[in-house]
Amino acid sequence: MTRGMLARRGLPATVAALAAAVAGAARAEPRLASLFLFIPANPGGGWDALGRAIEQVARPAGLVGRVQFENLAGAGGTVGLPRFVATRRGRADSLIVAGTAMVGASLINRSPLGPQDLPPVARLTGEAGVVVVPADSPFRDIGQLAAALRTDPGSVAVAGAGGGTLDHIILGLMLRALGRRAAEARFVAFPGGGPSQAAVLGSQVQAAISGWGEFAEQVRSGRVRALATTGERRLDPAVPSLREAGIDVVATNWRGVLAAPGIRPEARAALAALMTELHALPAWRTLLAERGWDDAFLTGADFEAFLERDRAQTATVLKELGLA
Amino acid sequence: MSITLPRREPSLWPDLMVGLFVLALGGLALWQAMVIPVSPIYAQVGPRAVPYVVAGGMLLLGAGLVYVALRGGWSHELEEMQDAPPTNWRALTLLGAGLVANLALIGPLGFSVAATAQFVLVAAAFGSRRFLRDLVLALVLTLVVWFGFVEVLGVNIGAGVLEGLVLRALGREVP
Amino acid sequence: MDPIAGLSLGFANALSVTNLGWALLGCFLGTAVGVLPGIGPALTIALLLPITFQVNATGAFILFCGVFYGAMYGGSTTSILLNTPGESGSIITALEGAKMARNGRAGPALATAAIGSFVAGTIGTLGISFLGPIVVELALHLGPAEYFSLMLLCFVTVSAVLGGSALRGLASLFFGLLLGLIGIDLQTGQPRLTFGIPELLDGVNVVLVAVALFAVGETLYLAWRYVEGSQEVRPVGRIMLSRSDLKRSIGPWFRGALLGFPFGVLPAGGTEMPTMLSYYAERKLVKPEYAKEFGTTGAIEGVAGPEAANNAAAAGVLVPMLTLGLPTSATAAIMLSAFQSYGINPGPLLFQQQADLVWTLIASLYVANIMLVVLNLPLVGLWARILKIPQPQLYAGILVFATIGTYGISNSVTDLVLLYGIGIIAMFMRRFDFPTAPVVIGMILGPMAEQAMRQALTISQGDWTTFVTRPISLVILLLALLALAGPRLYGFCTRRGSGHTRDADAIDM
Repeated sequence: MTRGMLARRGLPATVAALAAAVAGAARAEPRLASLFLFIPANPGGGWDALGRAIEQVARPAGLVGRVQFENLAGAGGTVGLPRFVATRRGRADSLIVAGTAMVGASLINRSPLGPQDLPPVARLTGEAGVVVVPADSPFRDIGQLAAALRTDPGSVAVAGAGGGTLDHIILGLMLRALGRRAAEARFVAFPGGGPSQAAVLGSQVQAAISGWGEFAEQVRSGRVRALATTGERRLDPAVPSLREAGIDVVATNWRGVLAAPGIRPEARAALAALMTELHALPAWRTLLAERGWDDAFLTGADFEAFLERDRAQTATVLKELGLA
Repeated sequence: MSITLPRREPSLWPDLMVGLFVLALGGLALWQAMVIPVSPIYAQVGPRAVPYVVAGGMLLLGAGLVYVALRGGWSHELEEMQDAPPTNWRALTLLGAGLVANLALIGPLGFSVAATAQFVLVAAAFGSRRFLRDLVLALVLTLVVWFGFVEVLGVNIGAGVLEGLVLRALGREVP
Repeated sequence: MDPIAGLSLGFANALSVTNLGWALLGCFLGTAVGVLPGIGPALTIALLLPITFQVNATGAFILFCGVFYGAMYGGSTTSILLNTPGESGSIITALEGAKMARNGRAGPALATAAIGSFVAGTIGTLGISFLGPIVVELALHLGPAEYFSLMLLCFVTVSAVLGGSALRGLASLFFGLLLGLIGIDLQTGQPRLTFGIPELLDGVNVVLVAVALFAVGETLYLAWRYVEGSQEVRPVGRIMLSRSDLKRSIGPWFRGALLGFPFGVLPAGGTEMPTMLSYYAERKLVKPEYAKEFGTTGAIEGVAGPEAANNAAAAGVLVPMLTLGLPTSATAAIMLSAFQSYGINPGPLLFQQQADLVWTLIASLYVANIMLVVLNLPLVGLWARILKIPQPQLYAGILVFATIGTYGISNSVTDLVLLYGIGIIAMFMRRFDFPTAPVVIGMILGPMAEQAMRQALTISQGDWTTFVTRPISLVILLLALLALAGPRLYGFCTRRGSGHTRDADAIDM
């Protein structure tokens, strides 16, 4: 009850804070008169949410003047990508929201264009995955599950959201780290996180891999047991990361923005500076906390290096799965 | 019904074409099923099994239809076909033109122009002679719909020529 | 908090002027978007998400639930009047509903859909209030094996729409199965039957296909056979339900609602399967004197039952979301993300931690239901008058309308090509007496059945007996067998007894 009240009082307060920010910044010229944000997914999903969040914070703070959106969904972003490239080439005011799913989709669909063909600007958020088992599972910790996977990967049916998705890739990376092959995974694909959660709750499968956010409440209520998370560090003090448990796997569902190909280096640097300023705003931290998004800010050469690593890692597993 | 024999011959072809079309669909499905790469993934039933079953089913059903067609067909016996009016080429052409106009215009000229062209052509196909009234009706209808989408739902369906004019007349920015 | 205390608290909140206003706005918006093919409640709520920055959580969720329920009402209106289903749950409604409208019974069809939606929505909401947590725990016991058996049971319903020839009916069914295969295979992630076209990777939308088959195909066929100068006048007929309409509707309403709610609760259930089963049941249970109306002039039972099933299932979909935080449908997933933007984490503890919000939401569902029936019943007369629009403008309007729904959201010319292409195929299907309903059934059930089968077999490590060794699965399979063989056995017995066939058996395969 109290949490609900807090949430409802908290929100108008945030709105008021944002309004104050507008008043303060309105006099100054925005850094960028207008920004075009291309979202290669439908409204309601994670990419759309990130795009709208950028507007929600950047505009009142006077970073940008007007923000225009275009949504074109399909095939993990690979339908929107060519359209963005064709219509916005060389434009200094254009960004496309991208993320993990686009890397995988462009490899699987063998698209002529992939996120690697666009100048990276910034990684903004990241969500670690989690390995869970039903509450009554014989696997008490990640070590026991790892041992079972090492001796016979076929003995454990693992649920996740779709073949070739991050869930599947994480399982593949785990098996590789355990000295097995990704293709040996007994992966049961469900259409999305909800049905995959239902399968674990009903003990239809022995384990599941999904985003931490989707399972956090089930873990807290004790209906499923979290064995490990897939990020660099712990998300829950009681749950180790895979790396801590001796399985050398780090994989997160990242989201960020890329620029249009053919833009001048200064323009790209300006966009990166814009994102850096956005990231520094207190309103951005508030928003991240409210949405439960993990800050994963990265820009410049670091982001480029990350993208290359991410693509290579994803490609290795997908090749083994016969998908790329 | 004693004079049906000479009239039977032309009615055999259409049914045969239908059977062959279903056979072709089955063939297409079979080809597409064969090009699905065999996946090394752990699975008892792979991604090709069900496409093969569906392709097989379509080929069987297509063969069945061809067989029935060769034995005299079925469609000439349908009650509806016996008292059906002859093909109206004018209406079909106009309607087809409406569909093609929409496909061709929606990209370059925008939704309102394309849908208006479609509306006028389809109305003409069904015998409307009041071209101007249809045109005005269609323009109003499609512009209302476009603004409904953009203003109420916030969906950007792309401003075309006409929408841009209206927006400018209202003193608004054209996205 | 027990349900009674919760509901009284909820109604106290929901009946405030602002919350009633949100409910009204939601119902109105929902009905409007439900009417448009291709734009469903999920997308509308997604588009309304920015509202969460300005409105308190209770108001926003009342709005969203109004949209959700409203879309279910709106979807049936165009199914009946224009043969263009707005949502996948309304496709079956179009089968009998559009036929009724063509024969001057649009008013009763719309009225039975509206009242049936109200009855079923209320039963479903009662289900949420009192049975929710229990039903959802039972639902979790069903795994892929049981779902596969359920889908086989639903496939039996195809026999009710096969039409005059099993060969042509099955060809239609297989065409649907073929369309359903297009896209990325869920289990392996591989593209199938996409011919290298990226727009096909996400598969073909079933509402698009239904609109193409029912509305575009029909319009094309009418142009083919159009006689210059002939103006077909569609009778509007009486608007309200006659006493006999009412008597015929009551049974289907309740049966549909009781069938729909549990399907909605199932994590892999949805609104389509119960509408098919309800249609099949009503076709089998109809009084012999009305049986010939099915598939010809349109039987009111075939509208009342599926429409009730659709609405009760929609209510059921909210149960796993509210009780376990499980988003089992696209709409629920988007509502969950709205919860998160209020800092509320939906999960098994939602009912305890957010009791006032949840109960206000449930109370507002009752309110929305009453609002919708009050809004929609008087509109029936108005809607039915759409049919008075002169033929040229009506058909032009239908085509433009189908185009808007398809293109408006996806912005994809590929989708339009599909819409018209399948429409042309449908025109020939009409000419050569191929039924179109099996295409849609195959397209909905085919992919679900394939995935459930492969999930079940991966879980059982390839043991096919899993479908008969799991008791619930076995029971469902036996039911399917009974549904398939029962009417024939019955017909066989009565034939031997009385020496003549029942009409209804003629349509069995």
